[in-house]
Amino acid sequence: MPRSLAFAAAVSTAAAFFLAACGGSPTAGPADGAPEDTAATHTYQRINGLSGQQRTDELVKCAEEEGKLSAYTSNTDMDAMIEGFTDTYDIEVSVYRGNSESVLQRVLQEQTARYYGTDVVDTNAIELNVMQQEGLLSPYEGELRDAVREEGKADGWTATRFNAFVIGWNTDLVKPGEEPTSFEDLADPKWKGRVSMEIGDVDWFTALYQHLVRQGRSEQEALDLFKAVAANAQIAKGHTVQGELLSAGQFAVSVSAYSHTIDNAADKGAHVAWKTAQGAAAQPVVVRPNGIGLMKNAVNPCAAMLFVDYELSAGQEKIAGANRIGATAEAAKALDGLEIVTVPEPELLNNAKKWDDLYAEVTRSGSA
Amino acid sequence: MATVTPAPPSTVPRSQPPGPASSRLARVRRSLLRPKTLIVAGVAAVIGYLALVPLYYLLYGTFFDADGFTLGAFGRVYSADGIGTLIGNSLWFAFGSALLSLVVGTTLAYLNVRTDVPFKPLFFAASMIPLIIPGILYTIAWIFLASPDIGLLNAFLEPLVGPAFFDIFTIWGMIWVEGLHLSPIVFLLMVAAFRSMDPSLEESALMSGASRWTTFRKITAPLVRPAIVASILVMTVRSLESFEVPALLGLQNGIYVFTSQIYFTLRSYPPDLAGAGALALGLLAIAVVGVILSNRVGKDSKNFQTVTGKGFRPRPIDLGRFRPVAGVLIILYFVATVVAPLAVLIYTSLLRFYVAPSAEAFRTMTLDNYRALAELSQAGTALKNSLILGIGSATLVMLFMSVAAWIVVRSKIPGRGLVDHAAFVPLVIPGLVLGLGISFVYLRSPIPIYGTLFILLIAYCTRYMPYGMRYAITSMHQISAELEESAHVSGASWWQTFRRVLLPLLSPGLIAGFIYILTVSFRELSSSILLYSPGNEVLSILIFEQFENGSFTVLAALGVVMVLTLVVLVTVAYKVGAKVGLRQD
Amino acid sequence: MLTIDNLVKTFEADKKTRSQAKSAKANGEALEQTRVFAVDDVSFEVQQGEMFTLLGPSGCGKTTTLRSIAGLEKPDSGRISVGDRVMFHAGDGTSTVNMPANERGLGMVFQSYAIWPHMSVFDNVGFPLQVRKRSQRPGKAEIAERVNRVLEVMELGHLATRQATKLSGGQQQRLALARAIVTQPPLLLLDEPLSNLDAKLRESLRFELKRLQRELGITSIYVTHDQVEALALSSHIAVMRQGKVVQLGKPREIYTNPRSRFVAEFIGTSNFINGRVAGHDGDCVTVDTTEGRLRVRSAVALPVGSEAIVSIRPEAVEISLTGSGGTEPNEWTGEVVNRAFLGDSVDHVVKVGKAEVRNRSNPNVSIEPGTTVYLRMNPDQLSLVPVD
Repeated sequence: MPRSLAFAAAVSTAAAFFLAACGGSPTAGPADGAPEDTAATHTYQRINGLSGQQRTDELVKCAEEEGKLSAYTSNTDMDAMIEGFTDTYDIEVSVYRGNSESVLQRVLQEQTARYYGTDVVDTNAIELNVMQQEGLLSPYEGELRDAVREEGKADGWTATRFNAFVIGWNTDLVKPGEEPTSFEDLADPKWKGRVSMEIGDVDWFTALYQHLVRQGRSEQEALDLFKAVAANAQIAKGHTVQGELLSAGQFAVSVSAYSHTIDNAADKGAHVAWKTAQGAAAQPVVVRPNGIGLMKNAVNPCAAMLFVDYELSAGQEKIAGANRIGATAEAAKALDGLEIVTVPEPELLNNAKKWDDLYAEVTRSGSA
Repeated sequence: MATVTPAPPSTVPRSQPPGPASSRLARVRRSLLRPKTLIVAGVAAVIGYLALVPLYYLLYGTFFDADGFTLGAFGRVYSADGIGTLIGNSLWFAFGSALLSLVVGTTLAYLNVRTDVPFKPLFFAASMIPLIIPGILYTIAWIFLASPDIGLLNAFLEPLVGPAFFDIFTIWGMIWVEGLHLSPIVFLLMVAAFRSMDPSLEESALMSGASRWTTFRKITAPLVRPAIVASILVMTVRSLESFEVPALLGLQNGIYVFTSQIYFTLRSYPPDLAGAGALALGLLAIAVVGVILSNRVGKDSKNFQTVTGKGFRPRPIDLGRFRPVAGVLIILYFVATVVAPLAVLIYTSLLRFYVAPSAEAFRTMTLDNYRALAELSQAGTALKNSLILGIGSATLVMLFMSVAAWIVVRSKIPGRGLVDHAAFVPLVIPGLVLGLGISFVYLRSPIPIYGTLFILLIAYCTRYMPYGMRYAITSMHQISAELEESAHVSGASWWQTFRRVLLPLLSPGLIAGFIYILTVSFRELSSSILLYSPGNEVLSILIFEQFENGSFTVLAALGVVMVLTLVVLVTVAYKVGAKVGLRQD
Repeated sequence: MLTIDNLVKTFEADKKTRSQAKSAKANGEALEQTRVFAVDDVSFEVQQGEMFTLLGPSGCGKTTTLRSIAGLEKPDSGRISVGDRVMFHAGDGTSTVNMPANERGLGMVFQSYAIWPHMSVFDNVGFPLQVRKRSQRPGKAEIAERVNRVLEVMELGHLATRQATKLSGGQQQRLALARAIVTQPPLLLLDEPLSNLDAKLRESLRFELKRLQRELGITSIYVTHDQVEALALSSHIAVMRQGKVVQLGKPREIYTNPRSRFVAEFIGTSNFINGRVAGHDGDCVTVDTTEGRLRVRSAVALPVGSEAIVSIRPEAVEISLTGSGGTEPNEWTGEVVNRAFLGDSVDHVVKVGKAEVRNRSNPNVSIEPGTTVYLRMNPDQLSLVPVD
């Protein structure tokens, strides 16, 4: 009798604690959808209205008064960026790093709970667009944004670099003269089993698919082309593994490698390339902007803005140093002369399921 | 009893003779405040709480959308194209891996504990290292070994058996890698079980004329059935929710499993939590059936109480002419699970990028990757945090689960089965969902632990509770109730009995569980990544960063460092463990 | 039937002993002992139908010897054979023979009984028949018949379907025995089978065991540390100490004629009187002690002048209020200092000079402490043992 009582007591305490801890429905969306003014947005508006030296002085003074900055990022080259920033300014920076999905989930969780953990978010386009849609971001304006390539001037956030999806190859397995010049080439049966596709590259797929359709193919023809390439392909998971396996010779060609993965490996001496000895690359190149957004509820809004300034100015060199493609026309020179296709972010956001399913169908048809 | 004694000279100080009602109340209050009641209730509450938070989150997300209750997610997920093949693949892969790890782990444990097999020190390494190497590295190491295109083993064996003898990108390859990777869990469980068994039970079978194999089949195996069933259960569920192996080996040839599906549902925005939940609940259903079956097997628990009050001396069996055969098997296993993958890892960690071994490759070897590791800004903090979390969660989980196992196996408390089921729930909850559930609660909780190391500790305790429970319950089944009763009769309180008799007797199982949790906690990523905060980095976050960065060779170096660190830690744990409980010799 | 020749078995010393040995060595003591002799050159022979007991204190090597016979322990050297089957042979240059335990075909009862908890009573007993090679395995009906017959003999017939763990201690013991004899083995090994039972049960099972052994005519080796058990059951006893057989003989012989103080002390109670051999007269030895001269009939020849101990069983001491007037040899005078009534006998402790001598007589004799008495000891019932 006392035992069962004790147990019942235990269970009900647990339940009570638990219920007390969860006030609302755990998976409900953000409570505040419509943008509203906050202390931070006032600061942003004030600084956005300034220009030139006045803006810089004002911003540095205000940011160093705040003295702190919290950034959430999925940018893997963040270390160098933060180092440069803290060397320049007297601001203490704390960084949360995760994959882009975690960054998004964490921001959504925190903001709906009114826990304002971050001042600025640096991540991929799709996640930034979601945050913008949820009304969590505040616009950044100024001369530095004006210098960014058109593809990078998004609503609510600003691109700081581009990921370029290129066709990369192992130079031991693909002899000079044999290199693919376009995606269509890879449908040729001679590539049977030598190609690699990545399971998660829906954005690349969508961009290229729409590009093919714009060029006059029917939807069916575009899909058939993808399936024909997939039939030649081994499916990999993750660009890092794919890059490593390309260097190791597990397959000869990656259809959607990041240019910086290939360049970094080549710098270390791996026998991989995405341009021929003559400098020709397979085209088109799909680019996807990655960027940075200011949090509407930032605790340190000036430091946040100053950090965006830094990424778009001195930071662009750090980006180039990591073999990445910067956002400003100057820093994106690597794209000059190439046919560029941009990832259709809004389409991906609004019809996510359709493109997911389509790409799943493509990858599934491969590698029989 | 005392109240019916006619007017005794009152030794209990009381101001007023209590009426019958208030005396009952006082008794209830007293019994509620007894340490036993408090501890039992506390443990049950903690387990319930840890399990219910993510479960509630999962259930809510699965069954409720903006319009209220719905079963749409089930329809959506389970009617998808090819779901049949997918489930088929999953079960084949899971049972295959479970079976392989069971056979391998049990054989090794038996040889190690009950025979005079040679090379016993190797077991230690063979049982720990596959567990320590992060799954992604272990899997990639196997690609480098047994890929039909670039596999070193294939290149090596080509003159003998022709090209591409092994193909790691098949369901058999997946089972091989997963089975070997999991076999240490079985090994640890079975070692504990065999160690607690009176050898004369086997010896009397030998004396009856039974061959060793018959003895194993008819005596040994039935007696350790709770451990075997627990192994199959944990292994099957583990394989069902394993991600790295199916992703890296299966996708290549279009072999899709359950978890690839969960990955797809969580990948896009908004993540289809409902769909993932529906899939996870499918896993949960399988797991609950498993738990019920395993409890039914252990029901007549007296049948497995091989640790009795009767003294016994564990004495190894002389393998005789099979000793060399066993020795060769051990070496082969050791090479396959430890030497080969670890060699690939060390080799890779010394290169700037992976190439097949050649004179050229050896000439360009460098320690740059280790240097890069030393320069990583948070390497020190991360190592420290991982140690705190690993040791902390392993200790807490094993202590709580030993009480929980007592509740489930020994007590007659109504509803004790629930404790067992509750402790099992987290096994099937995807790491991301667990992370979301926990952050949801603690972002709103008045207890300020969001953003501290504590929230990770809670996550780790939740994630590893099921394993701890399996280890503790398996050991508890083997301890005769008489031992506890005799301590009780000797005048020991419940808590004294628990601490002085049960804990030491459980210790082989508890230490095995501790080591398992310590080891795998170093790899935990899926919920850590959502819950850690700047300054609270753990090693797995570092691994993830290096991985995202494409620094595969640095990652290999990190893997090597982790293996070394954990080998040292685990050695210490074993040494400490050897000082308590049932001794081996 | 069973022959054991020069059996040796050593164990690695445990860490503690080794470190002790090490520190002893460091202290200058030459004590390097890395191996412990559990069985040290043991030889004996057991005849058909005998109940042969290995008796000794714990750690004397009796169980190791038994386990070596069983095949559960591999000796370092020696020879073990049952009938004309060599079970083990190693150490003298010939190739080693070591028949596995399961091929020796012996029966064994373990100290813990080792009843399989997951099987019924019937299955426990049937197991040895069921696991035989197909060609030698009896049919199902025959197995059932044989199992039931053994269970009947053991008075367990009515419990056949019961789960083995549900039996009482005595029933478990009988079950273990039933399992050991169901195959009618040429040799039955019993490892302290009665030690887990209460005194009453132990006594009744002891007689039952002896009856069964005799009726079934099974040659048995019995290991025990209980001398009463050994004396009651055995046809021959080997007393072991520190891995060696120190005396081997029939129970009566060992009891009445211990060859060493150890045996005399370990089996029964004894008065020990120190003295010096004064002379021989055939097999009659004269020993001078401080309490007086004693004549002892002894097969052991000790040289005149050597120190010796006379072992006197209490029941060999006759107590009397009147002296014989010097006609009887070995007559001492003393004073009763203590008396104890034991039901079936009375013990008197008598002070003779400085020594105290215990006497045991029938319960009708009872002498007040303080009384002067005469003690007479029959030379045939005394034994002479060398000083250790």
